[in-house]
Amino acid sequence: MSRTNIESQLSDFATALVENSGGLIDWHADGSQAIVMVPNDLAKSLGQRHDTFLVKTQPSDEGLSLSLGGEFLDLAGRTLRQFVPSIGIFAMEDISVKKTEFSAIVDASFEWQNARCKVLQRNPMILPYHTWWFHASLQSEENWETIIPVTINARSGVCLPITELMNLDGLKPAKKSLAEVSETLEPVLRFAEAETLRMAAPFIQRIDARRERDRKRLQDYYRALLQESFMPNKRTKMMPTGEEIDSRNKAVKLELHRKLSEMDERYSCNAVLRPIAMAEVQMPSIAIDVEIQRKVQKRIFRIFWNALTRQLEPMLCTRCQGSFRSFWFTNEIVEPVCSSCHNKGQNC
Amino acid sequence: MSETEIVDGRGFVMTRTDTSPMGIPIRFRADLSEFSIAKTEGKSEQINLHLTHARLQLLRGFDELLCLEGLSGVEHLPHQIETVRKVLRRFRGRVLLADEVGLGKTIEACLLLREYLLRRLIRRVLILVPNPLVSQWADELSGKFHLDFTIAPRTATSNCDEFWTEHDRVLVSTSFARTGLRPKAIASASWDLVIVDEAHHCRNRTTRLWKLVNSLNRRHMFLLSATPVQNNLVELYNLLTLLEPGHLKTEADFKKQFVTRGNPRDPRNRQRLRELLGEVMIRNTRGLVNINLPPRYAQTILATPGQEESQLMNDIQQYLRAQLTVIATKESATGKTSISSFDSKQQASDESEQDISEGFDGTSVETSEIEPQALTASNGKTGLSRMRLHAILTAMGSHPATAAVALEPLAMTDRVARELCNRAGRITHSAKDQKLLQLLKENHAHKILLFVGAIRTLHRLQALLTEAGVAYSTFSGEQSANEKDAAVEQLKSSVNLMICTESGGEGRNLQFADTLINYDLPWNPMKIEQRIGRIHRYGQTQDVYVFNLCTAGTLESRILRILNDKIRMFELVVGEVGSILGNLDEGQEFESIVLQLWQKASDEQQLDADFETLGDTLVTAQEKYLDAKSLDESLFGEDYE
Repeated sequence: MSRTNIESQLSDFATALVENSGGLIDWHADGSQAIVMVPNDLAKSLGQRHDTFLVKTQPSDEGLSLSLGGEFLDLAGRTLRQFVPSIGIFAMEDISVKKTEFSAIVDASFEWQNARCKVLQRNPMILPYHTWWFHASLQSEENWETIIPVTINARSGVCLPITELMNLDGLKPAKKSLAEVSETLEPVLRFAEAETLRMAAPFIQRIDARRERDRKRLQDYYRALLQESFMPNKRTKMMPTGEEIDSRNKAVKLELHRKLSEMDERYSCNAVLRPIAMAEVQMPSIAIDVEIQRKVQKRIFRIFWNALTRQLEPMLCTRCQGSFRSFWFTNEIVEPVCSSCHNKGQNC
Repeated sequence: MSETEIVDGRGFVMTRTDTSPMGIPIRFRADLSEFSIAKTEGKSEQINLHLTHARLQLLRGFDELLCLEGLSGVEHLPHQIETVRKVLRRFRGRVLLADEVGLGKTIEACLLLREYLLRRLIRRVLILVPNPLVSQWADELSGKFHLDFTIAPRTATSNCDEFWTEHDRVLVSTSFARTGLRPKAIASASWDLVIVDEAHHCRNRTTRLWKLVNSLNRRHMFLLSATPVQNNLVELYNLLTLLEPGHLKTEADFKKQFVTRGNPRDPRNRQRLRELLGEVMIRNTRGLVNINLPPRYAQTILATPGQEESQLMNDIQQYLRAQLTVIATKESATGKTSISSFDSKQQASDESEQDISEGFDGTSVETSEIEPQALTASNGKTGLSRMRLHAILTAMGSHPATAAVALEPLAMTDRVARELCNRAGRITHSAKDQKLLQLLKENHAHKILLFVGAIRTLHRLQALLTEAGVAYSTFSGEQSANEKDAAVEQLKSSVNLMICTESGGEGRNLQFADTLINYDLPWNPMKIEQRIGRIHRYGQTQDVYVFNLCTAGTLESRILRILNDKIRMFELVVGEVGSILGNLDEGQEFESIVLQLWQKASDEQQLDADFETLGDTLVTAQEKYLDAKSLDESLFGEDYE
């Protein structure tokens, strides 16, 4: 990415930031600086003493300098949190849902390992989907970071591979939320954790390998030192006494222990997930009720037709809370369990 | 895998632990402390704004160095930037920076430090440097990199663990850190980054410094030395063992594999050794980075003072010596020494500010290493502190008018000082003025930087030049950035002379100038080198001429003599002075040494003799440096990368 590109991204961002926070920004014709007029509290949040100040694309002692390295992004973050809502409620009204026959689709989409399924009825409805964006970071001897979007059906709790909800055409602001924002947070965090581990796998492997290499190197080094403690003194050519050997060995072992702890501390990995924003998108959908029969027991479940993916959404395993399309059911309460949890249960 | 754990009252912050395939624990934390779920009326562009902000934050990747923005007076030299990238990516913050002298190891280390800090990869930093380089480091860190460091005070505070745990960024001299109770206190804290300058002082594993550095609990470490090997290859082994224990296996293994039997300076298996060194060491050489500067020529111009000026200088010195005697007598009578009664740090700071406001820049004696050798009388009436004494003596070397300003605080309470002050103020033209005008006339075709240490001297010279009809521009700390730019532009296009104070031209390209005149001389050789470095630097294509004006019989003339005649400082590559001063391991700052010599000497002959001894010490330090330099060049070659 060229320097100019970053500069223009920063300028565009600064413009949007000021305008969305209730201020005015006027760029000079050459694009090198702009005059900004903002309310007093916004100026303060941006680290400025006056409500009219300059924004510059080059480092400068006066005004606000737009750069990746300076304090601009930190100040912008603070301002965003203070002045710009990070949660929005939207609706997708234009999307059409016309499907009427679902029996074949249900059969094709799911595997019922030990039960029978009967499609009962379809109910058109508006469904709330929550998309959460997380900043995920792993801090070890090195750092790794990315942005992870997670979309969840707020009714079923199923996480879906839909990442670009905000880019959909026809998205309009909605008046009222159809699901509590906090309700979906815990399941999406779990999903985001798994996603983090999946996406950072090469990074984690690299750190693992380095740690092993360093551990081996340290152990080899101190092992060699231990062997040297039996050697005669270079100057006096005297053999060490048993006491001297014990004392040297003890010192070497202590030093190794210290170095290994230091190394473990250096390589320990802290993963942090920070929510950046959340959007609820209300979309027309169809809820399909299905009756699952396991031996003599019957239970009705609700499956959702997703108008965007044009597919039935998976269901949740009641044990691990993962989304699956292949299920086993328990005898007593017809509880849906994924194959992995089913096998674990059997092993127990 | 552990269960979710509620960490705070908000109910959403939770931690969970997973493990990597090899068993590194991965502690997950969801941090919702800065996320508000109260406002849900966000528009789509507002949500996108949050996402754009997060993506911009991600752009702070290592491809884009953050440390390069917002620096003052630091050129972006390609080899330095490349070194920063290498250390970040390949060396993971553990490296021996062994660039040849003058290629900017300190700059590289500071760039790396800034990069790590900006990325929040580190918070707690300890910098260990030889005593004579402490103030140089402090100046560069704050002036160029805008990083404030606490200098470990020379008081009992530094013996306490709390000092080292409470301060996140500490700069301390190696000689101070390794003695007394400090090693234990320093090691009690954990550090994200430790920087050791002139790291060859850690070459011996039995020394207190090696043991101190080895005992530090640190994540990253930069060792800096142009000459990591001083005497034999085992020193290199010792240094690298500090950095990565076991990298070169045990000492016995290392000797067996890499040291020629009977000649500890001669390496075997060079290729393999080079490969191993390449994993922990970076060495840029002039040949490699293609920095070959044109020659530099220096000349000292001695001005003989007129009778009035000469008499005044003698009288001021006599007055100062008499004041010292009064203080000493009072101390012996009261049994109390000013050493203990002097709140050095506070006073140094107060006086320094006062002097700067008066316009004298060169007053920073021992502000970094608070030596409790103050001169303030216990009744405080004379007001003659170590700082004041230094200010007056350096002002005398600059211009009588500047000496008058430096004497003013004493003149308020002392009749003799007042009289001296008045006499100094009456001398409008000093002996150096005539020499200066003559020099300017002879070099009228050259672009010249005229350096002065004090604002008052600058004002005097402005008057002198205007009177003589010499066109000039002015660059000083009093000016705004725009005025400074205009001064440089003027020098480039319409005038041939620019008068500068110490900060002159810092950060600006002045390589179009080829002549430098030191109207007065800082006592610190590093500062003299900095002045020269303004024009004798990367990008200079012409031969460079340095003229040092100085009044006969002054302390400056003696300093010049030892720097010029003994170590031929003006012919050295920029950076070598630091390496030589760094070899004065137990030493004080050079300015302090000069001041002490003046204090100790009872007459001019003794002063000359003491300076001669100081010169010999410098020669020894230089020989030590040259010997190591030659060994390292033969060891690493010119093409080591």
